[in-house]
Amino acid sequence: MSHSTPSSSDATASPTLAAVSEQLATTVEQAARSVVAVHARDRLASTGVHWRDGLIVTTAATVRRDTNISVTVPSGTRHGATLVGRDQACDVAVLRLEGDVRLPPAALGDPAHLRPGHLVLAVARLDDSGPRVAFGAVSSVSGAWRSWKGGEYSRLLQSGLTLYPGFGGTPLVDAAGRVHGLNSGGLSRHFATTIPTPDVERLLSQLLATGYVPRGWLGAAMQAVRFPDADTRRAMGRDGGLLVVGLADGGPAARSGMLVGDILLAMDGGEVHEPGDVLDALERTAPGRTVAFTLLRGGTRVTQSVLVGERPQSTGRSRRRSA
Amino acid sequence: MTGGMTDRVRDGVVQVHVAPDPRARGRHAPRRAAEASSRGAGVVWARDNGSRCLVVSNAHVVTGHAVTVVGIDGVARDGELLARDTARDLALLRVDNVPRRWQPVPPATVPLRAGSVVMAVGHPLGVAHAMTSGVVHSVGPLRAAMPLPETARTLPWLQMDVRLAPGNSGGPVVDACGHLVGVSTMIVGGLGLAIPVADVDRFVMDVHGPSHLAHGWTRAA
Repeated sequence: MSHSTPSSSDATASPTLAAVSEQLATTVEQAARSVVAVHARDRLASTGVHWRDGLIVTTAATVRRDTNISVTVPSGTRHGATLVGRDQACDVAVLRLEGDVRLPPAALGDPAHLRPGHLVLAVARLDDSGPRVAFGAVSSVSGAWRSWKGGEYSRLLQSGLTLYPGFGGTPLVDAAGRVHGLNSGGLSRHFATTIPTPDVERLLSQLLATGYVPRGWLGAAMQAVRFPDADTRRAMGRDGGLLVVGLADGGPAARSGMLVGDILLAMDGGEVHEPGDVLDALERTAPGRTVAFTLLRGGTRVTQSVLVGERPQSTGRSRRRSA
Repeated sequence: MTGGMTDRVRDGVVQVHVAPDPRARGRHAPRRAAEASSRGAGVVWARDNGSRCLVVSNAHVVTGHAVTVVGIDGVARDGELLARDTARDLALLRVDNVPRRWQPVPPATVPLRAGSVVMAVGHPLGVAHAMTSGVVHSVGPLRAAMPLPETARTLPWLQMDVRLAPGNSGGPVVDACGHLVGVSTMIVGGLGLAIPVADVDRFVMDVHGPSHLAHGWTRAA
């Protein structure tokens, strides 16, 4: 039996693919230096990224307990970590690594530069046995959006990666090794959805400051309705509004005098047509501020002031349609 | 950029058809017609200076002795089952009088890393000599939660982010240079699992013996 060297045609036929392969493996090796395993739930670990200064970022859905959290670092040793805070709506949790463990910070990229077709990797760590990898291409990028959990993101970033069990919290890494965000398995059924790096930064700062993300809250459930008669539509200059169908007992809207049956037309002068319009406006409204609603009550246009409250912390499991 | 390389790999891939064992009766007999004939892939592991080949496949593909091996040229030959290892899920066949085109897939010389490009060649869902590509997910035993018996779980596996399908079993996994790194064996939790080439080589050596292989056999394509 003889092991011959590759024939010369081998060497000329595939240097490019071999180079791509080497580049991907090197990218994984480098990115994995700031990727840790997070032990914050029973059974399977999840993945976290050392963002900077001993701060580990992962998805909130995989942090099922507040204490007794540990982290396996790339060298294979396990260390305690404390929960800095989490935001179920945006699916981000921040942990602080305890003790004197030095890890390089993640090499952050700007997801604005990603386009469909760019090659990307998800790099996971679940134990002390080395990094785990999924590979694919960016499938779509678009503008700001809100998830079914009520989390708001600056950009939609999805890719054709398989997020295997434990891949929640993996960094989305481009071929040059830059981290463009955190992959979450809970945001979409069909694609791997990534929480973009600028949003992770924003949430990290907020969680460091307050431990949670305060959001404006009205305590009003509403749905879009169409005015039944053409006269009203003509008189109002619009097709319909937002019918208040429920009010939280003692919630901000109820306390301020809003009534079930009111039809909301505008909030602080901006027209509202869908519940999402109110949610978007609330994102920019700090709890404690007063906003003015223009609404129809019994056929009459009235202005109703509401003192905005703070959205109660959700468990992240219930689908909310109220603001 | 890889056309020539992949063509050479495909020349070393065969279809493996196994007729039902006539001795299997009663509860061991296939229940449906679809189960009557087992199909999978195989890889030409070595070739002598005449026209004999050693073909490696999975034990779960080669479930009987009436084996037919079909090359990419459509040429069919009988395969002689030399050995099966059900623990490592490997089988070794000898095929005589094969065409010149059937050439071994040479073994890899560069170690794999997580993220390295890999390609599986086989007959997924009956599509003959199809190529499926992806990257190395991890190399080593499977993590504890994987639904596999302990003895199989703790073996070394080439774990791949590659979408395998029935029909890939027994076929080669090659690296970016087209060199053999493993034998596609199963799908667990969405991951493609291959037996690392080192384990394949050990199995062939154990069965066939280095002395048998010393003269005249080659693994170079």
